[in-house]
Amino acid sequence: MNLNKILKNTFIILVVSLVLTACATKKTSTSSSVSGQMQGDTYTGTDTVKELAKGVPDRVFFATNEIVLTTASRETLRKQAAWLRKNSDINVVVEGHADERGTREYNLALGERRANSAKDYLMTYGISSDRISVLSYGKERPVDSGSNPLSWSKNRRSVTVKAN
Amino acid sequence: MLFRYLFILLILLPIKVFALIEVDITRGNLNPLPVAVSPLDIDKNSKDNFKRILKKENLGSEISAIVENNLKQSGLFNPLNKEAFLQEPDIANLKPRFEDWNLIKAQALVTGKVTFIDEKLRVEFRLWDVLAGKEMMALAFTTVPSNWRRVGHIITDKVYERLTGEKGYFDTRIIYISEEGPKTDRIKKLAIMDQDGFNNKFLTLGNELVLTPRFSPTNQMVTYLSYFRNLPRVYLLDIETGKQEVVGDFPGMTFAPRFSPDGKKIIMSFAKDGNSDIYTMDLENRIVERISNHPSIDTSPSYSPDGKYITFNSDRSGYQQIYVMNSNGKNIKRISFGNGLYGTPVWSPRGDLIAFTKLHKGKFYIGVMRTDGTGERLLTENFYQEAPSWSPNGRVLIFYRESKTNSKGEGFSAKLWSIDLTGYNEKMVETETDASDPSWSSLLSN
Amino acid sequence: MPEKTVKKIETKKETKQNPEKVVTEVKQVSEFEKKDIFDPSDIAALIDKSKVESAKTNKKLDKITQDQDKEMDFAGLTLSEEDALKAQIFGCWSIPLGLPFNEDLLVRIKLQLKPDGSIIKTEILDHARMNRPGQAFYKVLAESALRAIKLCQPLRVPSTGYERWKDMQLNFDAREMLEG
Repeated sequence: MNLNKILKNTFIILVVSLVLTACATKKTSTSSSVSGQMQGDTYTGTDTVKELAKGVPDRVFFATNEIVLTTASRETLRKQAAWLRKNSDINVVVEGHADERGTREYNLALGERRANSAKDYLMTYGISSDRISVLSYGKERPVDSGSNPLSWSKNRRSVTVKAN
Repeated sequence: MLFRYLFILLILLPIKVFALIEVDITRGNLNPLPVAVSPLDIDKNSKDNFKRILKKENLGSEISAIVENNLKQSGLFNPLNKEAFLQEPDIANLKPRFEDWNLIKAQALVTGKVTFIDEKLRVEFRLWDVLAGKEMMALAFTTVPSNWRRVGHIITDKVYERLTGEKGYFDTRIIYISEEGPKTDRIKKLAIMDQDGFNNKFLTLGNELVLTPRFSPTNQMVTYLSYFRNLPRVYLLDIETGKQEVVGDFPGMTFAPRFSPDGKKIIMSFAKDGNSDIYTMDLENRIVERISNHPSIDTSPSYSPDGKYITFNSDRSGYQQIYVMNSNGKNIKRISFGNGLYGTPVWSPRGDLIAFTKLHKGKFYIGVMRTDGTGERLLTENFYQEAPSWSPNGRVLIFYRESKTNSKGEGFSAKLWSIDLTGYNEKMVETETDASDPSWSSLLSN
Repeated sequence: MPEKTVKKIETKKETKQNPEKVVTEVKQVSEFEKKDIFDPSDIAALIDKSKVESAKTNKKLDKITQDQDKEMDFAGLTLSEEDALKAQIFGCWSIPLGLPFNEDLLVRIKLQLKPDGSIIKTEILDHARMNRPGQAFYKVLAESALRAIKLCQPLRVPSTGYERWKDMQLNFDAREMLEG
């Protein structure tokens, strides 16, 4: 084989592989914009999130059947705690929720657990237990009526609401 | 080949002695039993009186229609078309011509008579075995005219019991949660209806969230969860007086309430600081007793009919499973071991089975298992269904289903469904509105 | 486990204090307890009708059994005779759907037959079981078997060898159908 042919073939191979990787990259980037809303099973997006105060998100999200606080959740709760320390006359209700993929009564208990998980974390930042009451809604108050994993992940939440 | 040898052998045997021939009949048809329900006979005077009082043209036909509908809905009987009936109700009740009924293939016949007497409703009815040409049963009773629908249900219970050997479940009511509105903003009301869907009544107005109602064994009281004033607590409601009261004075959410079989206690879950345990409260002396004590979620308790045991839902193993313990909380044993999550255990009134909800690989199942956890049988599968409740004869389960919504989040509905223990006769239970959380009463005439 | 008691259906008294509840006094009302309302002449009419039909079936049986003539001299039904009878009764037996499928669902019925296959007498073996507490379903099962036999009259019996099969026992077992 002469040099020209080798060069030509290499060139073709290079171009093809570049195109292929480009396609591959494109694929990953589209899927990450969807999965950018979820990390594993936990919702990480901002859709449905309201502000308790400026720069303070009002809610944290959970994985299926879980009450564990993710890093993002803990950051949100730290902001809430900071705001509560600054506004010591405000009391809050932490509302716990579950998605619809479980039995009703168990979900009421799970919602209560999630709310307490958030409350306990707020308390580690010096907020008195007297200022935080807990209310579980189980699966009764979904914010998203969809029947898919993304909708469900938005419903697995603990929301901090001003009580007074 | 072997048969040929036997054949030769048999030739040599004496042939005069004949062994009794036995033929095994192991097959038949599993079709509902054809039954003819004749309109009840009613004399003109009674007919006019009932029309005046109840606004019903022909009470005899109205009552027999209830019997017919009940028998049909049970899935075990096939009530035959009245157009084909040859005998008039009055004659049929006195002396049926069995050939006539046999002609239309009826195997059993129900006849009777309704009379207005002393301002009361008197009914007598008979059940006939058409093929044997014999009367199987004859009963009479008297009641107030406004109870005319119950008369139809009581007759059905008697006929059903005589023809199946099991107690009926027709003179009963169902309490449930009526639902309306979008999924994200549901209006829920406590509702009650006869088992056949009639006499529907709302017991709350829809101003606060209400959930998971249960009948007391006396059928006069109901317990349920209400979010009145945003405080989720278990309440007691007297159906007749309308009087409501909070159960106990708990410093936190109480939920998942049921009555003990003697009606004297309420058993429920109490949630505090992230932990849900099972408690009872005596309705007379108001003494509260803690039954379970574990950092896990313990909920959905259900007594055995003799009151000696409790089955409940706990995630102490890491996931929702079903447990059984003594009614004092001791001797806790896990009984569910299949793949998936288990919830809502309910002990059958017959004491032999526990019904439950199971979630596995994204699908919901209603199933039953023996009280030691063996013999697990799944009866039906769906996108979402849960919370079975037993008919008082331990034969039929009522539960609820929710539908999937479309990509826009629309099309949500919740409906009551029922299924026979054998897996037969799965059907929707009609309700005026969407419905969930059904609970079956015991027989009203007990 | 709750006790299952068989209630006598004849009388039932109910006392209620609750005003809403039905005031019911359920009692036996039948004038027919003792009387036999069954008219024997009606059966005669049925038999006349069935004679015509049995003539037809006998013709069929003759054809089938010609090759098995030798076996006719021996005890027992031939396979084809048994199959024919079974098939007939399978079609007549309405198995009550309400039966508990995890119990013993065998009822044995002894028959005395006429040469044309009509029934002279039936006898339920295990008769005592009919009224045993907790076994109410057995009565229901037995009645369904009796109805099947009545419905199927005249039974599909062999055209010859009457001495051989004039006494027969049918073993009705619902287990297979209900378990499956």
